[in-house]
Amino acid sequence: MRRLLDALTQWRPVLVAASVAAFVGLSLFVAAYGERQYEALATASANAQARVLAETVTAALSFDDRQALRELVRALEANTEVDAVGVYDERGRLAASYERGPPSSEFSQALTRKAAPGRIVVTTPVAQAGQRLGTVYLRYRSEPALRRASRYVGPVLLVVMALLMFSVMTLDARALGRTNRSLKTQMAERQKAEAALRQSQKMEAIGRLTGGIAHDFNNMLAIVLGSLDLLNRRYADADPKMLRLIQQAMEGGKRAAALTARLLAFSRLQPLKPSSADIGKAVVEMTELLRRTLDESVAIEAVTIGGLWRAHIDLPQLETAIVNLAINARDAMPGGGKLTIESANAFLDRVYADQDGEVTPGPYIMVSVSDTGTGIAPEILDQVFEPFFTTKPTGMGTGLGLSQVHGFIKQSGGHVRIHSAVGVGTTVKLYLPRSLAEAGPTVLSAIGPEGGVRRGITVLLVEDEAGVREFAAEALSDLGFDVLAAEGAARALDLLDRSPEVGLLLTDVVMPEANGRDLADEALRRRPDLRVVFMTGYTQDAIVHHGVVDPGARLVTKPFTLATLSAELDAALAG
Amino acid sequence: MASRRPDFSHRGAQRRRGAAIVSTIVLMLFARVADAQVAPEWAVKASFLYKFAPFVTWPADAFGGSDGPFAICVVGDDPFGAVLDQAVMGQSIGGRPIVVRRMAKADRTAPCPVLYAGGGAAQVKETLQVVDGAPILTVTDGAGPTGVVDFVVEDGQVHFRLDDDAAARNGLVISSKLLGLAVSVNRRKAAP
Repeated sequence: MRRLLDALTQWRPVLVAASVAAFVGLSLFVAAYGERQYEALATASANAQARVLAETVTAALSFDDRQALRELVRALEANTEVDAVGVYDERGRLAASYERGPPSSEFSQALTRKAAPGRIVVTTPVAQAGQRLGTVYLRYRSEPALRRASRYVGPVLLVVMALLMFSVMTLDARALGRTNRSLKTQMAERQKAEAALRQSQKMEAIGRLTGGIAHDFNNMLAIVLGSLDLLNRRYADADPKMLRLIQQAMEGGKRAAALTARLLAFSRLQPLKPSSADIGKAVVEMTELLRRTLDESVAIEAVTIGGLWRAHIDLPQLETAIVNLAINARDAMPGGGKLTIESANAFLDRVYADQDGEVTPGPYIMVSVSDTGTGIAPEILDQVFEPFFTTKPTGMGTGLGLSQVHGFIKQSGGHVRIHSAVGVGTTVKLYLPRSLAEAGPTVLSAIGPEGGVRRGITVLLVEDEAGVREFAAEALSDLGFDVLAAEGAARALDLLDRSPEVGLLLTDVVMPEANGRDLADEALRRRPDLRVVFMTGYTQDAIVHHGVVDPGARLVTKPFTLATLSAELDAALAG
Repeated sequence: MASRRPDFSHRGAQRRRGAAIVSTIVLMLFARVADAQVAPEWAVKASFLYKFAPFVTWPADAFGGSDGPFAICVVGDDPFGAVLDQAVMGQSIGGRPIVVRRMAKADRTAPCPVLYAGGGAAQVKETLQVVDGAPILTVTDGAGPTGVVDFVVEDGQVHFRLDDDAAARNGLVISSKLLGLAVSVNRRKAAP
């Protein structure tokens, strides 16, 4: 059945042409048949008429009674189909004639001349008892054009209808074919889009999960690290063995913090501070760093163009991403090879964007990291950005390197593309959003800790989690601040009203009651001169929208060290 | 046919009278020319003699079948002369050549399908009496008694009267077409 349909589709033009030809042929045949039929009928009728006349004129013709002949001939006038009548005697002389319309000379040669085509002319001998007496000539009126045409109306209508029908059918089939093709294309596109959507949903789900875990871990790590930090500071003169243990514990904690930071990066939940960055310069600096870090067997080449646009990106995170890619490249080239870091301007157009649903067309700065390593098998190429996915032996890799790259670039509004051929190498292309801001002077205010000095500034600390609150209070105290601690917004506002000496509000953002942002707004309404610093380990909250900090907001990212806390607080007090 | 009669009785008569006066004058001046004028009429009558044949059916057994030539007999005075011989020359009736037989007296047994009774009224009467009842188409020329066919000249044209009753007596059947062309017809009596 399907094969038949296919054959029909393939031969459709031929079939249609053949059908049309058949219809036209049939119609012509019908018309010709009708014409012949009519002619035969008319001829038979004319013959009968002529024979009747021949029978009646015998005596008059034989005895040359002209008047009787004329009357007999004129009797045919009643038959409107008779156009001309001639009666000839046995010697072929015209004895009587009748002609409708203007007289013509045709009777003189009527018996010998052939009839004009389309005219029905008959001649019949006049005889009596076997005696030939003469000839009757009779011409039928040639049919009026309208009557003749009317006989063709049927076939012509048939042909026209058939042609119309066939053309409609053909057009319909064409339209159907077109629709079918476009439907197939749409289906393919939809399947592709659905696959992409599934992948991105999976990534998002994993991101949410890892983000949630990382957040909780961050809080715990904040307590652990902070406590260890305090321990280290307060008992600086303790047993060196104990201090070494503390140091080791802090190292472990920091590594755990780094891990959670990468998890957050993948989850796109890590707070980003993008700024206008010179990628070319950054890449060159990175190359120097990598040369020192990677093996001698790996040759590193940085290629960049002049006039490279500036990117709107969080530079330290980009550096982390490039290091991650470089480490992957190195691991892919155990026997050595070449690592190329290339940067260029790129414009992703709509065609490119349509292939990948997540890309917004526009200008980008492309940073590609290529190696000449083992490459990635095509079947796992889709999975390499998933967290904890690693091809490295257990314990050698966390499976978070490419996840960090992916999460960070996506969070930054960029785009990642990976190309790989087994045995040839891998290229990861990062497309970073272009910055339209001009390069500004980078202000770095490095403020060291001033332990032991009382500052005479009271900090109102708001944190719902007791462990973090206690650690933070200790830390603030160590930094020389006086501390008022509250576990929620209501208590905090109460304290604020009763304590005019409070000069700075350090508040967590995510809290069960009113969030830190609302608390800060209310506090600032009551005390416009109040300085505010937020603490957060999580970006999807009131201060950080889509991972980007509100302009002007001071933020300490958990887990924090005393140094970073001090720096942020000093900056807030100074600003 | 009937519509022609009134036309004849009015203007035709006048014209005939005029023609007669003219012909009398012409006769007196050019006798030969007058002769020539009469001749066409007799030529027509001569041709009529054989032209009747296709319209007449003789009994199948007349004159012992239809073999031999078809004879046109002229009894008594012959008004045709060579004209008749010329008229029938090359003609045939039903494939039978036409011959002209001239005889002084009528013969009932002579094979004469068509018989012209010439001469004066007495001679014509005698001839008709001899052949009465025989399968013969008798032709007369307006002098006294009339045969089955009787020539009349009207308006310079040769016409004829038909006596279908006499034809029936002779066992002849005359085609209705011929009857229709006659100036007048003596209808046959209904069979008793």
